[in-house]
Amino acid sequence: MANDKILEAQQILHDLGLPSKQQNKVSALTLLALSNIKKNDSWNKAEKRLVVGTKAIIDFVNEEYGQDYKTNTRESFRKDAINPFAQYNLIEINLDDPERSPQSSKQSYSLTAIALQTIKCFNTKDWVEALNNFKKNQFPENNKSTFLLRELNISNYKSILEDTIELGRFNVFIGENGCGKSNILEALAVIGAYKAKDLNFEGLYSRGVRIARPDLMLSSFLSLQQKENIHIDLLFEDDEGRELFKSSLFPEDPDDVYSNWNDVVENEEYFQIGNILSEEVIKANIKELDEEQKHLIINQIVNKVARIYKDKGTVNVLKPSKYKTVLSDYAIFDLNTKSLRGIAPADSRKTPLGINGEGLDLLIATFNSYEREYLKKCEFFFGWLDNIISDKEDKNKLLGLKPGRSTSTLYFTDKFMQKKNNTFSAENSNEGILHVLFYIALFISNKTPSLFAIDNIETALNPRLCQQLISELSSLSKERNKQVLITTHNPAVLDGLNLLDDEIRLFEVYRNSHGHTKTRRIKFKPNLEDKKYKLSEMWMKGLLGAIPKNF
Amino acid sequence: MRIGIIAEGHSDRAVIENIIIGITGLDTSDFIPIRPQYDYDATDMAIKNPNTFSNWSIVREECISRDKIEFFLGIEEQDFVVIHIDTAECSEYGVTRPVKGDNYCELLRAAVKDKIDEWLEGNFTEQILHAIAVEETDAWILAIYENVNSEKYSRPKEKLKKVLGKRRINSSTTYDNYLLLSELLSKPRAIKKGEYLLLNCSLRLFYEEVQTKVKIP
Repeated sequence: MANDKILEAQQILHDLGLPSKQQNKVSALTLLALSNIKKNDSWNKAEKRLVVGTKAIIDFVNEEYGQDYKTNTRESFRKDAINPFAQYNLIEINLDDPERSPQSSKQSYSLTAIALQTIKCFNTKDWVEALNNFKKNQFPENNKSTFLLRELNISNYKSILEDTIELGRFNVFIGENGCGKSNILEALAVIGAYKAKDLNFEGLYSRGVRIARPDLMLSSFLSLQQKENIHIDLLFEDDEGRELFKSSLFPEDPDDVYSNWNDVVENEEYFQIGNILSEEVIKANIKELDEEQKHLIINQIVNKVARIYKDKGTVNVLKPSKYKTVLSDYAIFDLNTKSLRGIAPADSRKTPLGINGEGLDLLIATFNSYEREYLKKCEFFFGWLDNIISDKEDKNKLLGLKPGRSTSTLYFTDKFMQKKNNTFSAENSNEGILHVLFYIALFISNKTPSLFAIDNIETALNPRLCQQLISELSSLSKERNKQVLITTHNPAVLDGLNLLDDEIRLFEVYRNSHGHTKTRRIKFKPNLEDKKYKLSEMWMKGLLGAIPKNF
Repeated sequence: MRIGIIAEGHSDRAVIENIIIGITGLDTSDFIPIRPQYDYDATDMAIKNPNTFSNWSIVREECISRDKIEFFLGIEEQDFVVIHIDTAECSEYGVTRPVKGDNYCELLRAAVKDKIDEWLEGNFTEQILHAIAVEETDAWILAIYENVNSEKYSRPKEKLKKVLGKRRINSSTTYDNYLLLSELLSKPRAIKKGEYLLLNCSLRLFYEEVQTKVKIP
């Protein structure tokens, strides 16, 4: 009976996704002790209790499970169970006294609420659901707030004189070469760079913008006078409502490629605040005020500002926006196989992933178990793939597994090869897996941007792989709360889109008879009963537009 | 709104686009050519007779198969398909010319329209716009350059070439050039002033059909 319970605990640790080392007997016994499960108890009796010191764990297992662990085995319990359990958010340490020294013998351990809730479901019909819930919520950072950039209005940026795009979560843009697809992606990067106070040559370049002299970034059409500002309005939406983000950017010197840019909207805001605050009045009085009076004045200022913006008919744009970081982090990824292999100098200083594929190895090395689990999806795409290895200490280099040019610490093992010869470095692996791995990592990581773009996603990928990858990425975008804008010239990409899902959107980008870039959503009419052609075929047969008309 | 066009050639499409732009205010980017060439790769093209791709047979083929029309119309805001055909070779596709008389143009157009509807087996009645040119779409352009009834020419293409040649105007049959040559058909004032619709019955009938069916919200 005692052994059965230990085996069950080992099974639980396995199912929770702990490494094999943490599925040993010591770990299983520790879990039993922390859950206060005795050999005849069922798992729904598990309880949250404070266990003080590893000695208490040893006493419990010796007494309840007939073991004979000596007190000098405490280090094994700490190393094999306690520390990894904490790392995997199974337990909390020193919940009763967070200030307690890590060296204290009175360290206390208790199961996290989510671990307890999950363990109680073992051997019930709810186990699988409980496991999924655990893995989803195990690391708080895995749960990001949901938001969407719902509307993007761009005026006077390169070939876009004026265009409004109503976005979904997963957005794909198609159109003939030179129609302005990348300009749409870039407009967002420009505003992102500005919000990060990084709107300069380096800031734009590292976000994937093709840099030009400012007067070439402003629309310049025949028979139209060139305007001085780029207008970009963004409408974000989340559970709390909508927020409008307005910008009107102008270069200080349109002829200077290194010119600084400013925002008229932001300047107006400062101007209005200045009027309200009346600097000398505040300077004269603020020191004389007591705390309550200060508080009152601040409230009055906030209310007045709010009234101004209400009168202007806009949402309160003065409030520090939660979307500022979202925009600052935005980048256009355009992969380069050499960067993925770690043999090209890093062009992009964006972290954790550079726009050309830099940093993939480091990002994967820092994945938590939840992200690792998702990474296994790569095995589905590549039948030969056995494992993805992050060689943090670069030991494989010393074993001669990479020639030395590559800085990547990423390795793959091939299931069809002999164990002694089945490990390939990023430098030696096929380019397809590097591209797929990058995209999967980009979508599943907590550290990558919530809003980003991918230019030419099909690069280096087989058409069928494109279809499957897009289908997978569109699911991941929902699960991981990512919003993405993608361009492609490969029809197979379209076959991975379920256009009946309103959050998955396909757009044709085209230039009208005046050469202005415009966008329209391609959507099936309601009551679609039978679709004989695949979307890729419809595109190739010219039924969706987005192809050259002259030949 | 997007309108699909199944036309015998690029130049015909250009003329049709101008006419519809004049009525609806659409832009050239609002037209999507539906062309059989897109069904074939370079190897197919090498096997097939090149003549297959530029005459009435392609129009008939698309009407009879109907697949592309159906799926084009399955997309939101893609609500109409123009089917263009010249009557110059109508006997080859089974239309008997009526006896020449006052209503010759109307009767010939009606017969060809019936033939198209027969190919379509009565489907898409409201979504099809019949661009039937008696004898060729060049006759519609002639209305601009000659202030005479352009229906009377049995070979309008040749006539247009001569007329343009005399004026030293480029007559090459490319899409861009025909878009330029027929530009006045996109200007309602010019149409009214030049009375183009009175100079060519088949142009007028197509114009009226577009006016009746296409409503821009």
